[in-house]
Amino acid sequence: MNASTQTMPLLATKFYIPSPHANVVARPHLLARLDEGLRLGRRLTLIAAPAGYGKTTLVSEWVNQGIGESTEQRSVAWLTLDEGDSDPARFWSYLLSSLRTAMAIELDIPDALQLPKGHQMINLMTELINLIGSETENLLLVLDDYHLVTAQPVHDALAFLLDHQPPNLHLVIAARADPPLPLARLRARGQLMELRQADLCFTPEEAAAFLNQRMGLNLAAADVAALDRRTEGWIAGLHMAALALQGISAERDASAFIAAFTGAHRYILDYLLEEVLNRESQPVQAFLLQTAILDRLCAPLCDAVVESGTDSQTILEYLERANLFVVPLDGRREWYRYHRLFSDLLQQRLHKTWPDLVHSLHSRASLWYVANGDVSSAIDHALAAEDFDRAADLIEKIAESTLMHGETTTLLRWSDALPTEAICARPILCMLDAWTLLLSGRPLDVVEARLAAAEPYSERIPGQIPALRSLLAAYQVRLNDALQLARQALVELPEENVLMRSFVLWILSAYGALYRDASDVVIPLDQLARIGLDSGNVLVAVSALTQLAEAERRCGRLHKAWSLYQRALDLAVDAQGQRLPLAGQPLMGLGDLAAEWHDFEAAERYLQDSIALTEQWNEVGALEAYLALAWLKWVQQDAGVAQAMIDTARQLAIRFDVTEVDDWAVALSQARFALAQGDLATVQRWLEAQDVLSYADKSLPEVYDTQPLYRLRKYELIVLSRLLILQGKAEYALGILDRLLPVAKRQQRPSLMIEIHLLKALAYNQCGRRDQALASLAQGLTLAEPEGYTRPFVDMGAPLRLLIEDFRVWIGRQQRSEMTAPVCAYAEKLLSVLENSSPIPHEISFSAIENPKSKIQNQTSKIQNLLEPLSEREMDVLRLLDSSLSTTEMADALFVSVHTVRSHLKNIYSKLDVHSRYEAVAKAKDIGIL
Amino acid sequence: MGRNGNRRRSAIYHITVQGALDTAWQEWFSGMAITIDQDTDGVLTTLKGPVADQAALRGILNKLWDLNLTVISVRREA
Repeated sequence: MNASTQTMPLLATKFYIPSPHANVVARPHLLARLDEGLRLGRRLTLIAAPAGYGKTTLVSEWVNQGIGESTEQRSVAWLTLDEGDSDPARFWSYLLSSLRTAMAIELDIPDALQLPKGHQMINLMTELINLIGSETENLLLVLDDYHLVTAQPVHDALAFLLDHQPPNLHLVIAARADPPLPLARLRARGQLMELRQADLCFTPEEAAAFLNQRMGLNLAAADVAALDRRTEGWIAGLHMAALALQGISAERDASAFIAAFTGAHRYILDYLLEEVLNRESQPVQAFLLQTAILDRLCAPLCDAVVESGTDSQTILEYLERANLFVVPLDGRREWYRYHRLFSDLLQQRLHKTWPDLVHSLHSRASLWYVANGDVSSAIDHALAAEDFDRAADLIEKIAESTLMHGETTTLLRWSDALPTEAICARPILCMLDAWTLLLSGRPLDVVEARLAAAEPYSERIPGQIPALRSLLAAYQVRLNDALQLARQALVELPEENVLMRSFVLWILSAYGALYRDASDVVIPLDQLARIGLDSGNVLVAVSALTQLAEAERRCGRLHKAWSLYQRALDLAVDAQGQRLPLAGQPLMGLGDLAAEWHDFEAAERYLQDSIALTEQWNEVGALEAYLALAWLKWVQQDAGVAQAMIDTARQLAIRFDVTEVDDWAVALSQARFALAQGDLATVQRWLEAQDVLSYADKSLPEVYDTQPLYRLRKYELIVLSRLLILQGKAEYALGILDRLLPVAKRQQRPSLMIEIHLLKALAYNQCGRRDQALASLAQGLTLAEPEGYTRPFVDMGAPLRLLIEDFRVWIGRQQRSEMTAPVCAYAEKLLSVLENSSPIPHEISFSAIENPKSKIQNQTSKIQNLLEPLSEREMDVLRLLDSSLSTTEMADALFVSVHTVRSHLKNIYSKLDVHSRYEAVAKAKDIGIL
Repeated sequence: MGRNGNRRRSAIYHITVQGALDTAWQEWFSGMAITIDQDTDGVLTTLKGPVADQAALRGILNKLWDLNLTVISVRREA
């Protein structure tokens, strides 16, 4: 059960169109402009102004009185947003619900909450646009309080909607700040109707009508003008002034009040609130101040919070009638909230008037929320009450499920608000907190302190301490310790502790693979990803998928790795749709692959994102991304930045003192950079320091395959070979490369094999053995072609480019065969990349030809010919249809439920207008999308 | 590294808004000191104090905007 989904009153209240209010001033000139926006076919109406300018009132008035010249029928979908809607999945499901409420037709679109997490909104939006566009019904979609949405995927989806808007849909956004949508473009194209602060201010006439007619005052024209000036037409200010004036009967007194008010410099609402409150009875005053701590009000909650026995329902209804800034959230008079401004004022006054009461108010609210099943809100109030024991008890209850959903940020926010003693006194919470801290990259000594606090209670938390110590050891690359502790934990952990068990299994699988003797406990990573998904343990699922991707990448199945990284990335989001720090791992992999495919722009973006996220989690984790960025920079001739990246990586490696592998990786990168720069002295020095010559002449025994540190030797030998070739010692290099090739083959490292073939080609060429050079090059090309490797070719620079040109001429004279055709084509492609290399203009970047992402784009452009395009996910399913997999197996392959696959199938069949799997495949091939 | 060197340091900000804001709001704005000055432009209120980071600054500005106060200037002490 996910705590954050327990938001009780929401569903009922969010689609509620505020009902017309008795005290509304008619604003025909504004309604006319709203009508005009529709008549002119504008796509978006934006109503942007600070709080208290009557945005919601205006739109609801417009909607309720019947839009336009009544000839046009329109259905209205209304969605009032709040802070929680920055979760894209939640936003999407509310959007659909509001549309379903409004439209007569059935919307057969998957609810994002049932789909795997990720960035599916654009696809879903495409389906929605098609559906709405195919209807004759005119629709108005109102998004109120849009400033509360901060999730980029939501903005992206709306921008997409605006770009592809069907003519029968009009969008209205009301917000306190301009939304991050392409407003300038819409403005320039005449697609935007805007009402802003200056438009929404009450004119002097409106102020007069409001004060004298609606609020029942009887003010002289001069007094009205004075109030309008003082408030600058701000409706909330005039409203508050009217409330203050309602208690004054004599005209003379009113004028005196207005004179005093307009003469004072105090902030308007401060001044007026005092007056307004003083006019209310004691119980009402107390009610207002004491309920100001609540985000939402309902009578039972208020009864529980307010001190003396008050009849909250009566007061709430009175407040609504008296216009005291309460906003009903439903039509049943059940849930309300205060106008935000008013609530701020009341809270501020509460702290001033009854500072000692604030804590007990929050405590009571917390108790009520527990009793009504909203633990998350209960925790927030308990923390606000500084009732740390209760808060800690509550957090302990839901920490496990919160952690399983990867909501480490929420957990950290809570545990940071708790005193350390409250955490340490609860071994279960203490351990969960330690996991959270470790996974969030907090300093290890804080994690150790938690472990030390839990140690005396180890019998109450069997297996948990070795489990965490195992991960700690794995982080510190003490792999033997990690595996031993993990095995111990697996024995001690109770079966029902799914969370910890899956962590331990992950450690065993991820690191145990390096050791043959651990094979008895190793679970294949794909099964582990499945376990992680099924148990809702995002952390394990993402890590397992990433590791699986790493393995595929190393073995040279780059496209498979790409889709696994993507899948991991899609999963690594929290409930708010924000990427988890964990997403840094798959982003690093994607950046590396994009660089391999020569899409430097995308590579840089992925790597930068990876660094930003990884550094929140565990700073040293970003080291690899810095090195990958350095490579990108030096091949783009930006040596200064490249060196800075390497230096940053070196600092990280030095600071992270538990292993030497990272220092070595930085040094290797530095040596390769020096090679590219022609700084051979530096390379020589490094090789000498590594004592490379001592083993360069020997063949590498199999022990080099298994011992981590020995495995690194082969990369040193590559650097040595390159240096030798540059120094004209090609024969020597060839000897080393010939000994190295079987090692690369044995260890299944295609990228290394390509590099060896290319170096051999260069070495042969130097010795004048041209045929052998071209044959080696052909081998490199053959290996590189299927998965689109480019990096080894880019690395070798100009000499290799010349050789490929020779190859082209040579092969032109040979007889063409099916075998050589793809290799020739690949050589052409590579030349077009290399010729324009350094710096490579992006338009002709290699990625445009080979990268799977652009493949998908090509496909989508074909799919556009379909009435309704297939989504990316449906394309995934379609590809599997052309196999022998059963529906269940397809679900497994895509990490989704059978139900979801079936729903995709239904959509695919209907979009392709076919009725069977066989027909679908045939048609898809026919129109060229398969 | 330099890029990480001062990233978690807070800075002193001066935020000036139009009109006079009661000093009782001090706590509402993370304890920033509130002073009121008469200027040629009329009465101005200045909030001065440490702001943890840009997110905190944004929070403070949002609160000011939520109260419909007009922000005249935002300045960070060097």
